[in-house]
Amino acid sequence: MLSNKSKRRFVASMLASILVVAACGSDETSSSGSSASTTGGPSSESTTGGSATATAADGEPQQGGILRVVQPSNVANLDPHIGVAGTEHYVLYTIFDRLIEFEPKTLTPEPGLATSWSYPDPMTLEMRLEEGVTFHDGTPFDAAAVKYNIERGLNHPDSSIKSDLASIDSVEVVDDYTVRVLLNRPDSALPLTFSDRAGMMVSPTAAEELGDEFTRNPVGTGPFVFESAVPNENVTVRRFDNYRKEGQPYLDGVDFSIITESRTAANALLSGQQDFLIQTDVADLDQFESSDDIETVISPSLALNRCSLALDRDPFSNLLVREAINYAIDRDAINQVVYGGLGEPAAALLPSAHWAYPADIPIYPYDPENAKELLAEAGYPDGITIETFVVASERDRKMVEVMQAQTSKAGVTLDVQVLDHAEALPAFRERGERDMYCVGWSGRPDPYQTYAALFSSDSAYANPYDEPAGLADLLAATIATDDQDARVGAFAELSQLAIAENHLNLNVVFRPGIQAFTSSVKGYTPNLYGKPIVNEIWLEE
Amino acid sequence: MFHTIRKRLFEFVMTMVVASIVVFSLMQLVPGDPATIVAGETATPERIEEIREELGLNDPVYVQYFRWTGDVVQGDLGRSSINEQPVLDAVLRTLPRTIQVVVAGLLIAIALGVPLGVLAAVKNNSPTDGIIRVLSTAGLAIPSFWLGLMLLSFFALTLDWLPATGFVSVFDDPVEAFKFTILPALTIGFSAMAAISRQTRSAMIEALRSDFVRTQRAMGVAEHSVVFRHALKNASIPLATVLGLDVNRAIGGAVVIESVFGIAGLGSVMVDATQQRDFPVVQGVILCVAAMVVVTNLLLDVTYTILDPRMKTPATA
Repeated sequence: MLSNKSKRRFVASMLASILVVAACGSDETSSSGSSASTTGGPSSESTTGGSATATAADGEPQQGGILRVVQPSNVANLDPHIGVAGTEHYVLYTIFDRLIEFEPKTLTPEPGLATSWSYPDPMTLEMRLEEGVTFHDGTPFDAAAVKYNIERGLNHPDSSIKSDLASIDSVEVVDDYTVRVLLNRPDSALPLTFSDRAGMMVSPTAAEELGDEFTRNPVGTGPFVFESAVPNENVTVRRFDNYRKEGQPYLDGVDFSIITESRTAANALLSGQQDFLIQTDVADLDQFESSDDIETVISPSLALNRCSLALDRDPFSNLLVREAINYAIDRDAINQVVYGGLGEPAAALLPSAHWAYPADIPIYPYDPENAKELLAEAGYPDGITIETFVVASERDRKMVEVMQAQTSKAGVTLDVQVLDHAEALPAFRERGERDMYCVGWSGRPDPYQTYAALFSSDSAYANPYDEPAGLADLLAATIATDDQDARVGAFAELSQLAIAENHLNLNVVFRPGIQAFTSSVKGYTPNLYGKPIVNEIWLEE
Repeated sequence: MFHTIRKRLFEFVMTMVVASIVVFSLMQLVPGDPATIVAGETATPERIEEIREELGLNDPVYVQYFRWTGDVVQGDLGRSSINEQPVLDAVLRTLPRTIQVVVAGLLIAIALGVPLGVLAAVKNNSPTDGIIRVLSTAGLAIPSFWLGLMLLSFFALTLDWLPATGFVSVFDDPVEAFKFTILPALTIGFSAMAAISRQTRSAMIEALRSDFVRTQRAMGVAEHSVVFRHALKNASIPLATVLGLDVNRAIGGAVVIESVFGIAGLGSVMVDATQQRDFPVVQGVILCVAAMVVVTNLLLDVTYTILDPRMKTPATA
């Protein structure tokens, strides 16, 4: 008959299947980054079910094998400068190297295709490039290629990275392996901006020849060469034999299978049909724990569950109301309910592992009495009703349901309407409907991008409102210098003004990054950005 | 005969026209702007407006409708607004998978449902009848995604006999295809089986009580011949009706089943497209499904005339 383990697994899967009703509302599908991969980041890293954490403990890398990865949502566009979905990165990373990479645990910039960089003055960024690198099509990677790429990002009519590169005036080729980027304002966020889409180098030859077809035949310098893609089904990439890092990649290739239903993906992993799940639901963890063949890695991430407040109108134009709502929710309890306690309660926009984490910003305690008093002071002695949109994702909905119960004790009634991001965004942003919109923020490689997007009055994410005095100056100060300590200080000051004093956000909890994989998968390192990179994985026989 | 075909063809065209109008209007009513999704979250309002223009979303609705149907008539279902692949490609790639699963499911349903129904009718009001009735009630009551997950947990994860997810075409590798298709087919087939066995049972009971059966029995015709050659043939007309309904239901139900078993079929294409407001794909897929349903009904009509000679349209009406 069934072994104990099998029985346990069966029971676990039966229980899990009951939960699937809830999980049926897919929350990873919308193509726009924030509604798609929303939430989170925990402060713990652990493995369950299997042996050790990835990386160092895994021993000597072995060559060969195809890694089968479950890609949680469709890959609509493989042109890094045009696509928009944050979930496309997992595939893009394999094909395209970036100018600058990031240290996985803290997200500080590290050399990529650019071996070093400096700001001779605040308006100039100079990058020294690695020599002897070629694109998959044989085109040499040099300063001219970098110039081409940056100009493509600035000028291509369909570019999705124009705003990332807005500070760039022009690009000069100094010599074959040195580029000089001339700026129209100081911008020390650029290096980390180049660790994302904007720094993914496409082959100038291929981009010119293929035009709009480039998205179907992407060519980079990355460890893997694009082989094929079927929309909504799969993407396959194969080893690039001339990769710039000696001996890498270890794998012969990666097969990405697109499985949007997280329960189905978990079953595929449990049955040995897949090797690696990019993102796993907390609900599936128990089942993985009871399997000896599956390991999980839980790590903090930038992705944040939060609500945007309509700062341009009543009631949230009133500082006291903003402060009140922040005291009216219990972030720890939400973390427990939504993420089993694996996430990290949030006050600021960065998790504690991040290099620019503003450590002095306290997390609001749950204090409904205080919230009530603040509301009375603000002119709402009988309580207040907040009209709320929540994006149609399982996690965000669950979060808002918990919040409803909590805020009611402070006299705040959340009147909730659930909508797709595609509907809610224009309704909230353009038509000015409702007071609050709860939708995840997937994070940006440089914190300036996040702060500017969520605080600045002229951001594409907010309606124009009366900024607190000095906010624009403090925001500018965060990119005025490339000295990291000075930047940390600037972000702390900015957070003090925007969050601790003006309560501009309702930030709730960082989503934990959870990857699950078979025990033959070795050498995986999670990153704080929350977008797993599978390039250095190897498979044990 | 000619007349029948002409009449049916006319009905087919009219149904498709109505279906196309309904599909198109539905898409107009769905809130959410496709251009917003194509543009991504950092897009400026100007960029969104540009994309709206590119996708032709600013034209009057009737212009959009006639542009779409004009292309459809020429065999062009348009292109996805998200990834620009031709809708027809997506349909042709995924439809065979859905058909394989649905057909396998219906074969199972017939193979189990008809004998069970006959057995229940012959043993009317016996314990056997009771058990079969419980089984078919369960088949109708159990949600198919739950049944699918149970089958998957047991046969694929616990026993490890069958693959948990994925698909192999019967034309590529029949043995593998059998392994991949059996669980989703059972899931679809179980509820269809229930409907078929119930219908068979009641139709058979009626047939077995009818005068001609009594006469045959009185004449000493062997019982199995009475049941299978005569009564069952009479009971088969309502059965065909149920089967037709089951086909339509199974195609709709395949959406859920495909999701559970990770099959990239027509259903999953439609779900993804709907969530991404990929209107050309949604419209194209629904139109194809509508065509399939209409064709099924057409075949059903033909079956009726074979099963029941009285339904043949006279040559001169």
